[in-house]
Amino acid sequence: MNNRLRVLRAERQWSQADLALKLDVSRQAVNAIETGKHDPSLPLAFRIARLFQLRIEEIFDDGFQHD
Amino acid sequence: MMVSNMTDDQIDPPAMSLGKLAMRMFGATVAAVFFSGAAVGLIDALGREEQVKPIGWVIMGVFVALTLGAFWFAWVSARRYYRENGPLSPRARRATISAVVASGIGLVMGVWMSFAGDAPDQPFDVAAGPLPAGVAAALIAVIVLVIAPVTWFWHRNIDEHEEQSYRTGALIALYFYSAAAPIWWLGNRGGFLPAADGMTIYLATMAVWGVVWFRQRHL
Repeated sequence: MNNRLRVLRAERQWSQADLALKLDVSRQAVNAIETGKHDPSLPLAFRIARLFQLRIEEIFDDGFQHD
Repeated sequence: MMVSNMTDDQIDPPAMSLGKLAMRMFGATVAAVFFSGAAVGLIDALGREEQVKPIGWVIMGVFVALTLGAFWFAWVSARRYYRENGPLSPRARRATISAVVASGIGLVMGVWMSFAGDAPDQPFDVAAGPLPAGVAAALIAVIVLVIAPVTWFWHRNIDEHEEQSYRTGALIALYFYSAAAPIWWLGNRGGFLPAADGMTIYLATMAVWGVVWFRQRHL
């Protein structure tokens, strides 16, 4: 799944370790989500969305196209 | 939208990878075992001499210093890994500490087993060599009373990515075991393989689990 996590993080000048600290996960988890190797669970996706004050679909894109 | 003008390296400075840390730790462990073994052997030889030449003590001192140097290298590497990959979240810190504790205990158990073998005249087989009953009972107690609770604590504190990596490794290891064990057993019944060795299958299954976990988690 594509996501804007890296861009959102860079806008705030947060390192992966900074974001991991704010989400209470490991840096490896942040890296895996950013590179699309790991899709976060719904609870973690909500935590990410709240942290950036955005909706989940504004951060994550499953490629679905509305007609 | 605010756009950062920082480069990738400024936002995410290059950090030591876990693979590099593992290689450094492996090197330090091998060096520590080699140099401490040499020092112990020299002490044993010097103990049999009536008059020890000063050069003997100097060489022994060098081996001891090299052993301490290996430990220092491991400590510095671990500190650097933590500094470059940190700060850790409270959950990640608890998980890391419990993993380090479990690994340390495992290392001590391995060293203890290698020194406590019952067959001093033969090279000790760590996986299946005989052990004194008391040592075996103590090692079992450590597994049940220490390793199991630490493992439970670790599971309570890992994040979801670690958990998924661990589960994927476990699933593939189970498939490996489900294939390897009957293949070896059938091969033995067919007369073209030796009798199945449970410890070998166990260690191979653990190795598959570890490799898959590492790939999922760190590559």
